[in-house]
Amino acid sequence: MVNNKYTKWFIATLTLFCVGLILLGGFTALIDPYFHYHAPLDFVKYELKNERYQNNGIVKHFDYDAIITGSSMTECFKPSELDKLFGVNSVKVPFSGGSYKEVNDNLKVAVEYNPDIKMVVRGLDYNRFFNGKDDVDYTDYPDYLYDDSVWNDAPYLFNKSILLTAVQNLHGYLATGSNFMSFDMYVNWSNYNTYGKEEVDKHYAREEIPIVEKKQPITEEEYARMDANIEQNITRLAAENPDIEFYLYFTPYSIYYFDYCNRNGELERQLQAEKYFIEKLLEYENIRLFSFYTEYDMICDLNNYKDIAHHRGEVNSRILEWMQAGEYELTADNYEEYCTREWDFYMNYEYDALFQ
Amino acid sequence: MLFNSYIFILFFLPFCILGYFVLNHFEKYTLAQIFLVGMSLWFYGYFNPGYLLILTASVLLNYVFYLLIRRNSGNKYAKILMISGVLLNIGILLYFKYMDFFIDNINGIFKTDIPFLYIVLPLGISFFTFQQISFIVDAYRGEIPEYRFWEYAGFVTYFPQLVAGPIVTHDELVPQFMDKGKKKFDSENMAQGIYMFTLGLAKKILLADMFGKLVSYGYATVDGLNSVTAIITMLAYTFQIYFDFSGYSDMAIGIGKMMNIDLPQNFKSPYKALTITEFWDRWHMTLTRFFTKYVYIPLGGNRKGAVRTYVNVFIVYLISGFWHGASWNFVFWGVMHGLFVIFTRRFKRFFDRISSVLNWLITFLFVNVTWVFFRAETFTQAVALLKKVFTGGVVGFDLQFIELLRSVEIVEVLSLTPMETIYPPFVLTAFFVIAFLVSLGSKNAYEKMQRFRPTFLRMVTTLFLLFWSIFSFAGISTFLYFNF
Repeated sequence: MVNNKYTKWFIATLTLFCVGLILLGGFTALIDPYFHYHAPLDFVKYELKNERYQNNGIVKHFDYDAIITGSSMTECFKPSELDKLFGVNSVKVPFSGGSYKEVNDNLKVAVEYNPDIKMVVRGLDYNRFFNGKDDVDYTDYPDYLYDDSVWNDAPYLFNKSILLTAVQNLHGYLATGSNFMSFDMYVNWSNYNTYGKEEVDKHYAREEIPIVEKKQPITEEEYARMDANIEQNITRLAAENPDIEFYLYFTPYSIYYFDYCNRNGELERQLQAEKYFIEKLLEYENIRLFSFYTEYDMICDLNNYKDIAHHRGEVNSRILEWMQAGEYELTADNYEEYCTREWDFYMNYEYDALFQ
Repeated sequence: MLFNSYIFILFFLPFCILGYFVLNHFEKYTLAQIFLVGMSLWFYGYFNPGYLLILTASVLLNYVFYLLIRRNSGNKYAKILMISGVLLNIGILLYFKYMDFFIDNINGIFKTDIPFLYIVLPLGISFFTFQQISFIVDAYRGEIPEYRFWEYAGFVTYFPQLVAGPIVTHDELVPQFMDKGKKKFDSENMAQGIYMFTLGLAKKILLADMFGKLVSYGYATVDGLNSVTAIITMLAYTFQIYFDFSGYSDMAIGIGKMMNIDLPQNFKSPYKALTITEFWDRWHMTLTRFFTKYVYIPLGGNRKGAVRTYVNVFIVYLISGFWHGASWNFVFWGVMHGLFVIFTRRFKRFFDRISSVLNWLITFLFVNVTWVFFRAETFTQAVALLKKVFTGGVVGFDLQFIELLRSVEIVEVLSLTPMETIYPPFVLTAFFVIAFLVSLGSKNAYEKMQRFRPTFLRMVTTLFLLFWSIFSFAGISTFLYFNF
């Protein structure tokens, strides 16, 4: 053969290329750092740290019967505490900055893949009542992780960042002999922040002059939008899964958030929308709804907060205890009274005193 | 479809080459050619199937013009047909590429309020329009033998060169498609092609895209730059555009080679140029060639005296600027190049006398500065960046410029050395040193391809670069935290 050397070179290169792809891609698939194909392996020390890459795999493949979810407001929950209080085996799958839709889409997957789920603890962000039903704030989603097709998995299998993670995961086990993976510490930022008035002030730019022109009643259109958001992203799942108990709560933002609403002329709308949400949610027997906005000491104590919304992990712990004890639960009997008390307190609060 | 995508490398390319050679092996030559056109259309329509309509209509119309010109060859209609054919192509280009630009300017000048059409620019339209103009003109000149439709369609749509060149002419490509000797798998060409493709891919992914990070960041934060970071931003774009564009051409040439098709060289180490004229003989060579043949020479070239020569040169660069994009920035960029070419020609004696190092420096600096206008979103932004170069000072170096290049594998490797603690900007410096070495100190990819021998070392290099590049296609997105 004339081109013998070239033929050999071509065949060898092609063969090594294919073998290399199979080995490297196969290694990522085997370790599976984002749990796309299977549950965690015993001889690997996985790291939980990337919500939008890992949560889908967690809810599909892990062994659990309870789930904690929501936005960054739920990142500091410790599933081990929930397990102890309720006798469950839970996972935590929060989405930093996640909208109702994003969180609910993940819950839908969980319910579809795991028939054992009996409890869902979910934070409903207090600032998202007026969102549209399909609002999601992020693009650039790793879509290939969200379906079961292997045909679009190339970015997962042939990806240097993920390959390196897989190597580190395996090495972590070999070096320490432990496969310990902590949901308590998964994206838990509670210990990495400073709290208190000084810190909150840094993150809050108060409107110099109140914006009165925003003060408008909720329109029919907005009610329709709320209906759609509630139905699609909260209650439909509850209606379809009567055996699952949904522990929902409004994420307790700080008093500064009410000042923010007040300065922007939106406080009345906010409280009215909350009441509307309560009424809609209480229609379902398997939804247990909690709100802590009448726990004024907590809301007004800025030592609990790092900015106008985010509270420290201790608050998350207390939330779980209250849920277990049934405190601050809203029911058909008590919600009117709750709303009145809340209205009276926040509508009459001396906000200016906070800034003197 | 992009060359640097999983679907292209792992499926499209192997499937296309296999299908092409299998059909040819069974002497189904026409079918193989149709298969190639079909694959090219898939390649083109992958992003936006709507574009296919424009491409196919353009190919069909031009082929009809070709047939008509041939039939009327020698009679008075031939010229009319040729001119209408050329105008039609230019018209399509003007409509899709420049209409909104014109509307914008008319609105600006006459204070009118004509609504924009928001036309989505079909990919590569500037390239295939020029190819077909040259085809129609050559048909009129009687330089074209009989081309069958599928060979013609194959020439225009041939996917390696379809969206970003090299601007291949019909007489380079169609005869190759018609040559039965080229229809057989050839392992020497295949090996060379793989090697060339890999070099181009590595240039694009491992160099251009990395510099691109600095460029995007630098241009997004012009106000925060100091002199050092402004220079880094400017220089980074100079390398980004070179490695990106020449890398793409290298990949195209490599793919052609795998199928026994020779595509013309498009870059010849342009940053080695000592004069601006030489730069244009080395940068996007097929474009320069096109302008020379179809604009400069028809205008009279250098045969009508010095002044006319300068005017002709100026016209070419003006059109070139306009061709690169529908905005005044590109026009300004073209005009600057045109004027500088004229200037260096006029004072050629002076430039001949000074040292070649100085000449190189003048040329390189000029190219750098003009790229700023090419890249910047607005004229003001370009000026602001250049101002920063001189007045930005050296305090307040934005550490993000160091951070941007620290990709996972680099961090991992460096963690084995004390480099990071000794000299934190090591990676940043290394990238620029490598870029200078690659673009100035070594043979270019085309030369490397020609000297290719099937050695073990080249196999290792090829595999290493191929894996490194492919595994760099997808990263992990970070979801920047906003709005709790």
